[in-house]
Amino acid sequence: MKIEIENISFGHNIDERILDKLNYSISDGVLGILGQSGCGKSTLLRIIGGLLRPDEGDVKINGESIWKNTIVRKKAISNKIGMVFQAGALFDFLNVEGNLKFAMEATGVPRKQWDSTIDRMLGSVGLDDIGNIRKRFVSQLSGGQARRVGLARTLVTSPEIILFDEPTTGLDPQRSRSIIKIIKSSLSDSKISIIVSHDMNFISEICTKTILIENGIVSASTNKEGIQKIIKSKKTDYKDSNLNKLSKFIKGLPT
Amino acid sequence: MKKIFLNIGKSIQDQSSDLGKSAFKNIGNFVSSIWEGFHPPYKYYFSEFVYFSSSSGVNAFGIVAITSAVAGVTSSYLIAEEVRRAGVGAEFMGGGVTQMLVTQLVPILVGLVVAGRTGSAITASIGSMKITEQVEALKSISTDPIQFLFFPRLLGLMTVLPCLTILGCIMGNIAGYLAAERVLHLSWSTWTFSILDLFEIEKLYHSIYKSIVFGAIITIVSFYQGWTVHQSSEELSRRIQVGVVGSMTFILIANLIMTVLVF
Repeated sequence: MKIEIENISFGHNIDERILDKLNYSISDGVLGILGQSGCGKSTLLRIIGGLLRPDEGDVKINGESIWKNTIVRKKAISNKIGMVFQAGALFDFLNVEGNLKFAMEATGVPRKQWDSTIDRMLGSVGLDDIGNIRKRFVSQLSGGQARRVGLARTLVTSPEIILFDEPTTGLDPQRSRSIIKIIKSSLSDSKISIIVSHDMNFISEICTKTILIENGIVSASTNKEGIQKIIKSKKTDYKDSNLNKLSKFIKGLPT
Repeated sequence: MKKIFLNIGKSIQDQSSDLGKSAFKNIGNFVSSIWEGFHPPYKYYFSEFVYFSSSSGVNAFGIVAITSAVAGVTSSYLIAEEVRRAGVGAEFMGGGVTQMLVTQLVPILVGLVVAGRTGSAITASIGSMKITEQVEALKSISTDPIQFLFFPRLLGLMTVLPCLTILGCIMGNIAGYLAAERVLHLSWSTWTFSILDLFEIEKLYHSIYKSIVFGAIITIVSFYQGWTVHQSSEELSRRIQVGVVGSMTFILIANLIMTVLVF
């Protein structure tokens, strides 16, 4: 499986582009996206997921275009992609069970598998020991619980590509750890995962490739070894310009 | 020729404010989302339609009944006073008041009341779903948000508004009779015969057609305002106001156009 991002440009206002002819391609594996707040990481994730139309450019999944294709094909391709949202994005008109069932019904999971899948999934996200969790509404869940249910809702649909939008931001270290553990165990089911995060331990542990977005383009990229080298070392200057930029970004220095 | 058009387009773009450009972008995105909703795979959310229709109908029932009754009493009372002073025309009261209520007063009042009540609820619910990323979450699990959120509301309000209008006509008529009876001591049979003699049933059909159009206007305007909210609850409260005022304005304009040109 392959994702090709071709000349993507996007701006919330017409004269202001946060992504400016961005190009990148990824084959099977886990891609981490780094960048300062507001640089367009989450926007790029939404464009890849078929949720937000770019002003220019296209995204291809296995050579098939999302944004320059017919609407029917676009919908069909987007069905392969699942997204885990920052705060869970649970449907507040449904309870936990309803959220999971809604996702399974929408993606065509056979009805007789629903109950067993919900049990298995709530177990795998560590929510099975909470009393009456299935019947709880969003307002009755903590932030961490809502995120885990959001994660479960995406995983029940078994997408081929999973996009994670800052899944650990704002969580305490213990909850953050448990989310990372769940994500790690879910990665084997999908062919490509893309993660936007500021959590460097998370990125270095999981991602096979990491890119840095600056000024609307991919300004640097490296593999897992590169990121681990930067994190373990106190060194900030590297001959390799990719490592140099990533190192300065990670260590909070001007690039 | 192409160059001329390009220059005109460029100068319009240069002259328009950022707000205007954003508005065009929002409208473009909204229209393309609606267009996508018309494409397969089609899913029919009948339960959403039933839930929205019944809840909006039941919730607006009381206020529509009161508003229509007040309109019926007021108009009937004013006419009855004139009839009493002139000493003639009591036999035309029922038909005249009904004509006035059915053709103009009730459909407009019901439209305005529902725009305030249900329209604001539509903007609030869609806007908060946008802010909490629930709309994107729908897309991410293969659910077209237009098919799930917009079409059931559109069809729901286009169904409920005519029903509320008919209810309003009945309430206004009964209340109008009570006012006429009090001022002129008019009998129910005189009132009823007057309606049968003077009132044209086509006027009721026109009123129903109007309320179907008003239902569509309220849904489209309110939904658009909610749909184009960007991540701010402060913006949402402003959007609700704009949605209500916009719906009311478009209802009055549409009524004028339909009254003058169509009916």
